[in-house]
Amino acid sequence: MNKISKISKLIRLLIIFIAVVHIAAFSISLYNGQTATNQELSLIANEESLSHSGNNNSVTTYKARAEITGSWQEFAQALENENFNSIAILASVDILFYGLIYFFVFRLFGLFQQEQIFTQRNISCIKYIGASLLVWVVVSLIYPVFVTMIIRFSGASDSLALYLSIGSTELVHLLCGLIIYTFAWVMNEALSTKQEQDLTI
Amino acid sequence: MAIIIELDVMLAKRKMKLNDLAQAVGITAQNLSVLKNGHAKAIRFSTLEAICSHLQCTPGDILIYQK
Repeated sequence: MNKISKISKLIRLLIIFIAVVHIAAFSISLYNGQTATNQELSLIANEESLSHSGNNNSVTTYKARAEITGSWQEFAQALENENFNSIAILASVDILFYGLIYFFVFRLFGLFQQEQIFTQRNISCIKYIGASLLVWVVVSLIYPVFVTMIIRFSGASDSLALYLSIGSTELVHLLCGLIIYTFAWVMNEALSTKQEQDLTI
Repeated sequence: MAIIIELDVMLAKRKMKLNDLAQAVGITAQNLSVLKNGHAKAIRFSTLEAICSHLQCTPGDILIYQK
């Protein structure tokens, strides 16, 4: 039990670190407005790393760069071509989803840290993580269509095509969501077994 | 439930307190109280044997089936 508690503490610290880097990267890229559609919403952490080389003291500045991935990649490119800020439109939803996942995982490992393994609160947390992933799959399918419709109806652009695509990222999220949701049911069974065990004299 | 626990009746007959029996059997008074009040889901044979041994009775004196 002590091992679980220790590892949970480590995982919580790691989640805080990842969440801070994620939010900082998003904020910086939003502020700088620089995007590059490629892989994942991954930011180069050293946005302003200064390199002093030898005699001439030259200063190189790397700006933050956000990259939108998966099925949204083409849509992000299309938005950029139409002079829209794809980071603000797409990545803000992305970060909201990740925020939810981070929050529930953080809470779950908080409970593990308190040595609460088979409790109703744990099961709820696991269910919420699974549900978030499943909702995210639906959102990732619907959101580009929704954004395109708004842009078209507002008259900001007429040439923006409707994007409805499902990529490997969505399939992985769907699979993970289903696995986690099933795991929550397994945990529920474990909880009832534990309660029965507690009432065995 | 169709199974009635008559541990309190047997304790009264033997003029024994719940805490004393719990101590003698080697389980907590809370657990024995759960059993006495009929909230228990199951009883181990070892516990039943120890209770019967200390109360000098049979399992049928403690557990009664009632339709």
